[in-house]
Amino acid sequence: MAVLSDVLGDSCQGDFSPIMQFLVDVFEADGAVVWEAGPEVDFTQPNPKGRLFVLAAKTPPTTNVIFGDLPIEGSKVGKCLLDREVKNVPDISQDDEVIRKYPALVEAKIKRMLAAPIDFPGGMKGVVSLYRIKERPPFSKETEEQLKQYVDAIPRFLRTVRDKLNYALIGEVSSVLESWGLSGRHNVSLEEEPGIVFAEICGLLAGAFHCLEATVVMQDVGSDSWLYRVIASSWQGEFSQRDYGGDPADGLTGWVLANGKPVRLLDLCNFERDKDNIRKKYPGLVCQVPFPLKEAIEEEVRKSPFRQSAQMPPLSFVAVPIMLDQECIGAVRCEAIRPRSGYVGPFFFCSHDEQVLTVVAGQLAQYWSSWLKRRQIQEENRTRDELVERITELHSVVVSESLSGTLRQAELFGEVLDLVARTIHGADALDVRLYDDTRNDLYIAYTWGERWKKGDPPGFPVRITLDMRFPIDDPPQSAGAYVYQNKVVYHIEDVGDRNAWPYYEAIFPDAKRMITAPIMVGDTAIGVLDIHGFGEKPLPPIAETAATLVGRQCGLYHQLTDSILDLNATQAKLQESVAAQEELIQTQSKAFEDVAHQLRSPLIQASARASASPFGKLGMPRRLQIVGTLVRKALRITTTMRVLGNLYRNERIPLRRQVLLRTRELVAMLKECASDNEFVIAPERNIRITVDIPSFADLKIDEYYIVIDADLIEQAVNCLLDNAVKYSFSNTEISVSGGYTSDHRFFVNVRNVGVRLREYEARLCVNRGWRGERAASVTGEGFGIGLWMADNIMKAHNGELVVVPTNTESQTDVKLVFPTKGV
Amino acid sequence: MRPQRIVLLEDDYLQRDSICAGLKGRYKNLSIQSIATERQFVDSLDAILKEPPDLFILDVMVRWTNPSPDMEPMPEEMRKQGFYRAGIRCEARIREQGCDTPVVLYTVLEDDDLRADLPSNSLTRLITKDASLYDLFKAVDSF
Repeated sequence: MAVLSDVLGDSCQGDFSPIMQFLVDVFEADGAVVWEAGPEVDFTQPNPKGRLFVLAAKTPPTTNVIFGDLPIEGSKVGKCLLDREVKNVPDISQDDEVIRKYPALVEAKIKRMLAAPIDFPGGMKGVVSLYRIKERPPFSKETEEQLKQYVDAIPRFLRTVRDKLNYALIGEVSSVLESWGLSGRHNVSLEEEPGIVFAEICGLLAGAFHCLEATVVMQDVGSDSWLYRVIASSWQGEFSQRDYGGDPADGLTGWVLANGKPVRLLDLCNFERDKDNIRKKYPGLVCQVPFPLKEAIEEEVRKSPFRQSAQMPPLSFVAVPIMLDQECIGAVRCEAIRPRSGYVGPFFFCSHDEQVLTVVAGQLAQYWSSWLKRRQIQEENRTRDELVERITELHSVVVSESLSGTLRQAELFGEVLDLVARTIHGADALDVRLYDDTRNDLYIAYTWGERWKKGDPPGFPVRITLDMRFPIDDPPQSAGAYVYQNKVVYHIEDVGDRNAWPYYEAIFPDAKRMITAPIMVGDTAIGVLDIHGFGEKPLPPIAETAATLVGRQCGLYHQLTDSILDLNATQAKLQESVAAQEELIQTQSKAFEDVAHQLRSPLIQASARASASPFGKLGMPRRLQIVGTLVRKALRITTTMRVLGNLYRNERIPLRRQVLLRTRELVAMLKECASDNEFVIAPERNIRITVDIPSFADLKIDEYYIVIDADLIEQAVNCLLDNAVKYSFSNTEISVSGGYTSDHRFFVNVRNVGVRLREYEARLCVNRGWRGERAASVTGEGFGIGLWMADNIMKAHNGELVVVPTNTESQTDVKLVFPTKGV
Repeated sequence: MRPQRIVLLEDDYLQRDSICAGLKGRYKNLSIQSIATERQFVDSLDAILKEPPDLFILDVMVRWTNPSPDMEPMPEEMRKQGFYRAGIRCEARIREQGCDTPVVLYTVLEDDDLRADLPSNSLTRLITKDASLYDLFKAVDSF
C-alpha cells in the first residue's frame, strides 16, 4: 500500500494513468480497463439493461486508446457485473461483443482477461478488467484472489485521485470568489462583475475536468420575466441558444433549469439509441446541444495522437442546478472531456463529478446571493438618490411656480407620478385617489401610465373606468379605504392571495401587485397614492419607503396649491380693488374732461349763434328766442355739472328743486326743449321736432302727485332729444309724446327715425361712453354720457329709462318712465 | 397771407356760418368751400387738390357721415385711429397727396388733448376755438 500511496501522490489533474499503470504492474498485465455502469442502468430490475462505459483504460503502447462503451448483455464484462463475481477468461476471442466493438484489442494480440466487479461510492457499480497478450499465460487462481483483495480498494483509489482534483477545484473556486470579496473590485462595475467572476470559474471547471465547454447560465435580473441567460462560458465560439425560459423541453440545460435537478449523460452521441432508458430517469429530456460539440471533438481528435483511432471519445454531459432558497437561479454545465496524449481517463463525467459540480454550484449560489444583495443595496441607493434628486428638482419647480403664481395641482401631481414611475422599477401604472367628503369615498383624481389608456384586457370582468369610486366603508372593501382609514402603507405583494392581503379591490384586473400609501396633510389623510405592478418580479423593497415619502410630498403639494389658490384669489381681489381705484382715478380725470367739454363746446356754440350774421337782421321775437335758448343752454350746463359731480362720486343724484309734475308745465318744458334742439339742426338736414300735445291731455298726470326735480327732468329730456337729433336721418320728424305703460306708469316718449339700434345695443346704450358700431360713424363729438345721465336721473326719481329697439325698422323709442307715485 | 380760397371742414352749421361770416368780413373776395363730414372731405379731396386752395381750416371732431338709410359705416382702419380725430386724418391725407397748402386745425380741443396725434410739420397749426375768431385770423395772417 506504501507503493500505492506514492501512486496516489503522483496522480495529478484527475488523471487515472498512475493507478492504471499500477494495476498493470501489480498483476503483470498488458492492459487494464475500469468500467462504470451507465446512470440509466436499473440494478433493481431482474435483468438490468444498459451499457458499461470506460472510466479509465491502460492498453499496450501499440494499441489505440479505448473510449467507448459496451452492452451489459452479451459481454463477459457485463456478465461479471451482473453475476457479481470474478471472471477469468483465457481467450477473449470467445467474447463476441468485445471483438466486434474493440477489434484493436485482438489486433494487439490481447487474449487473456481477468474481470472483477467493483462498487463505486454512491452505489454505482462497475468492473475492473485486466488483459494479457497471447504470449503471456492466463491469469492464475492466485491472481484472481489477489484481484479480489484489490477490487474494493480500486474505486477508493480512483475516488481519492478525483478527490484531489475536486478539493483543488473547490478550493480554487473559493479562492476566486473570495478574491472578489464582499465589495467586488473598484475598476469593475457591479453589473459586469458576475460575467467576469463566472468566466474565471468556467475556466477552472474546464481545466479541472479537461472538458471542451464549461458554462454558467443565470437568471437575467434585468428582465421583468423569469428568463435565464448564458452569463459565462469557456467555449469561445457562438451559441445557438443563450436564453432559457424554464421550459423542460428546452434542451438539456432547459430541463435542469425547469426541474431544478442535475442531468448527467455519458455519451450524447448515443442519446437517440438510449433515450428510452435515459427518459426513465429524466422524463421529457430533449437532447439539444447549443454549439457544434461533435465537430469540435472530431477536430480535437484529428489534431491528437489518437487520430487513427476508430473510436470517438464519448460526448459526456453533466449539468447541475444552482439553487438558492429552494429556487433554481441558474445552472452550471460541462460537456465533452477532451482527448489528450498519455491520458487514460476518465473519459466521461462520473457520479462523483456531478457531486463536485453540485458543490461548486452551491458556491456560485452563495456568491450570487451576495452579489444580489450588493446589487439591491446599490439599486436602493440609486433609487433613493434619484428620488431625492428628483424631489429636489420638483421642489425648485414648485418654488419657482409658487412665486410666479402658476402652480397647478394637476400638473404638479402629474410630475410627482412621473417621478415615481421613473424611479421605481416595475411601477407600471400609478394614480392618486383623493377623498370626496360630500360622498365619503375616494375618486381617481390623477393617473400615470399607458395602462390607463388601454382599457380592459380581454377576459377580465372588471371594468377600468376613471369614474370608479371607492367608498370609505367599515370594514374597508378596498386597499384605498384601508390606507385612508389607518394612514399606513399597504403593500399587496400578490393580489391573488386574499388571505394575506384581504383589502384589495382591483383597479386593473391583470395587475400582479400594488402599493397604496396615504397622502397626508399633517395628521389628516386626504387621499392615497397607488403604485400598480404588472410584471413577474416584485417591486423593489425601497418602493414602500418611496411611496410613503411621495405620499407625504403629495400632501404638502396639495396644501401648497390650495394655499396658492387662496392667495391668488386674495391677490385677484386686491388687483380688482387696485383696478377699481385706477378706474376711479381715470373716471375722475374723464369727468374733468367731460365737464370742460360740456362747458366749452356749448359756449362756443352760443357765441357762434350770437355772432352769426343773420342774428342782427332778425326780428325781436326771434332774437329773444335765440337769447332764451342760450340762457337755457347755460342753465343746463350747470345742471350737467351737478349731475356729473354726483355720478363720478357714485352717489345717487339728489332731487333739489322739487315740484309736482303737472301737465301744463311739462308740456311747456317739452316745447322749449324741442325748440332749443331744433335750433341747432343744420337746415339742410330738414329735421323737425314736434310735441304731441293731445297725447298728454287725457293722462291726468296731475292726479298722480309725482314729485320731480324739474331741472333734472329737463336735462333728461334734452339728453334724449340731443341723441335723437344726432342719429336721425334727414327729412324726418322727431316726435315727443306721453302715455302709460301696461302697468300704468306715465312716460314721456321720444321717437325718431334714424340709425338703427339693435336689441343688444339697447341694453348697452345707457352705459357711460358706449357707442354703437353704426352710431360711431355719425358722431363727431360728445362722450356718450347723455343716456347715461338720463338713466341715472330717472333712477333718482324711482323711474327708469327704457330704450325700445327696432331690429328691422329704423324707428327708435326712448322713454322716460315715471313711478305711479311720487318719491 | 390774404387768402383767396379756403376749404373749411366744420359739421356744426352754426359755427360754420359764424366762421364763414367772420372770414369773409376780414378777407375781401374770399371764396370758402364748406364741407360738413369726413366722408365728404375724403370723396372731394382729389378734386380740391387739382386746384389747391390757399388754406384748409379743419375742425378735428367731425362726424364721418350724416345719418342716412344707406350710409356706409366708418372703415375699420379709421375706427382704430379713433372717432374724434377726423380733422387730423384729413390733414394727413392732404400731406400724403404731396400738397403743401397750410392747414389750421381749428378745434375746441387743446394742445394737451392732441399732443400725441398732432402732425409735426410747420405748415399745420393748432388753434383752439374761442368765443372770438381773433386767434383764427392771426393764424391765417401769419401764413
